[in-house]
Amino acid sequence: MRDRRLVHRLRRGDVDALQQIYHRYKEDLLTVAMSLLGDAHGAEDCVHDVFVHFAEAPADLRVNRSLRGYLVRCVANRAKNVLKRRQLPPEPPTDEPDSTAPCDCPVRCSMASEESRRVFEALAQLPAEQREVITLHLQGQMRFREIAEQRELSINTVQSRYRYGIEKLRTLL
Amino acid sequence: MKSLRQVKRIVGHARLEADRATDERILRDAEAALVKTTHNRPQALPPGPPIWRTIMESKATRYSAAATILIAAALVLSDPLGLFGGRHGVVLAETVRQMDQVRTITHKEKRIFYEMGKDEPWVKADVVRYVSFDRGVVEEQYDEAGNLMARAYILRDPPQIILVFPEEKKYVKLPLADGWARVMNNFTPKAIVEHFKSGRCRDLGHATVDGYDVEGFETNNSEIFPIPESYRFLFPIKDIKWQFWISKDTPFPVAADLEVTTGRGLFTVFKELRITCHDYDMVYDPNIPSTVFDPNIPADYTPLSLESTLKESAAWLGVGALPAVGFVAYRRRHPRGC
Repeated sequence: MRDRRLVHRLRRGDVDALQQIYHRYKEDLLTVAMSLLGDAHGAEDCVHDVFVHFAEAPADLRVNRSLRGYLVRCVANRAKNVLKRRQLPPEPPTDEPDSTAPCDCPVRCSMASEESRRVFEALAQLPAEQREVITLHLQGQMRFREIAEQRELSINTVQSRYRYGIEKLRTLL
Repeated sequence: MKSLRQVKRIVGHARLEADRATDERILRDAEAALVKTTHNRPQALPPGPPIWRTIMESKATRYSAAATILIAAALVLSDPLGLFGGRHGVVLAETVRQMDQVRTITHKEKRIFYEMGKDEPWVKADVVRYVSFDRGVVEEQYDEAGNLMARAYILRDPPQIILVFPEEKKYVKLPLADGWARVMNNFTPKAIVEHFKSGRCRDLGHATVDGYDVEGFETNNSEIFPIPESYRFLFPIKDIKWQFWISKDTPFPVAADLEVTTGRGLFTVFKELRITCHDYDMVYDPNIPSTVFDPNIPADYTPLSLESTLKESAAWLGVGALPAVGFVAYRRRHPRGC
């Protein structure tokens, strides 16, 4: 079923449409989140927050073109906010589990192949700006122009970040 | 060290797969949020598809935008004589003289609409245009599969614009506003030549276009389509660049290229557009059956009424209202980010 129809049904509160959208795009979104954040729990939480937000205000959805592109952008924005928060001084401890802590729970942790793990580890070694461009371009399938518009950068900046990042990845992979 | 291609492939194929517990957690919370929204805040759900969105997403509207743009282009492009100001030597002087005798023209056109800043075309169309300096202009716009998307009539008597959308079985009739009517009144080869005498024009030299040995001319002049100020929000032309190619063997233009850039307007579906057109297969003084200029609107077609739907959408759309061409338009509020 086409995305537009699913979004239309979702706007009318159709739970089945929400499930279909989730199952259609969950892996793409988790992968993008994982590449940007570098940890599986953070990625899961990021996708979780995006989908909950997505479901909270269906009337506000503004999906003009591709639903996948829209969700990827949402995940990238959310991941960016998470990374910003991580740079702030640590907050007082709470009873909530630390989502950025290494995974020791075999039930909850999402799965990646050995090669995918190596990719995520290599991406984690890149500067955040380069990692973001490479992730959005190669995994999010966004064009350089879209990334530039989204991040309010010049396309030259985006392309040069991509080039530097890819060169570094060649040595890391 | 791996090649660039390998690196791209490996990164592109990396995957994090959600396990069952993750799926359950995310779906449980998202579904709960959706149900809560539905039950507690029904206003968060639209009562039905917003009328404006329906219009914006409908093929008819897209075609309407396209067709209106083609009207603009029609008024501009139907003067393949535009550059013949008599300042370019013998060829143009002869062209002016010959073209002043022309009463009808037909030609084809490849037309591509791009959203500004995007490489992928928004709409691609093949156009057939019939021009009669006595009756008006009729354009038929076909999609890539050869289906008729829209037929546009710009008629002198009575002065009106009619857009017909066969697939949607809809039509729009608009009076030809004063400013446009003035253009139509000036819509003779001689008047257009006079207009261009005052414009700037660049000689592109000799070239071969569509197999013809030609001399080219280029100009930037958007004043030939003087949309009245109060209507400019409908179709805000920013710039027009034309290139005309005149055969060296006959004094007639054999091809024309046009590039129009627009701001956001109602008829551009609030997109900034770049429109490129290539005119070819020009035939001068053909015998065009008069029925071509008779609007043919089947009885089961219904009017595409923008006025009522736009009025109803006023609150949703938010800001500002402007009267024009018999209906009211409102600026669309900016889409929210995620």
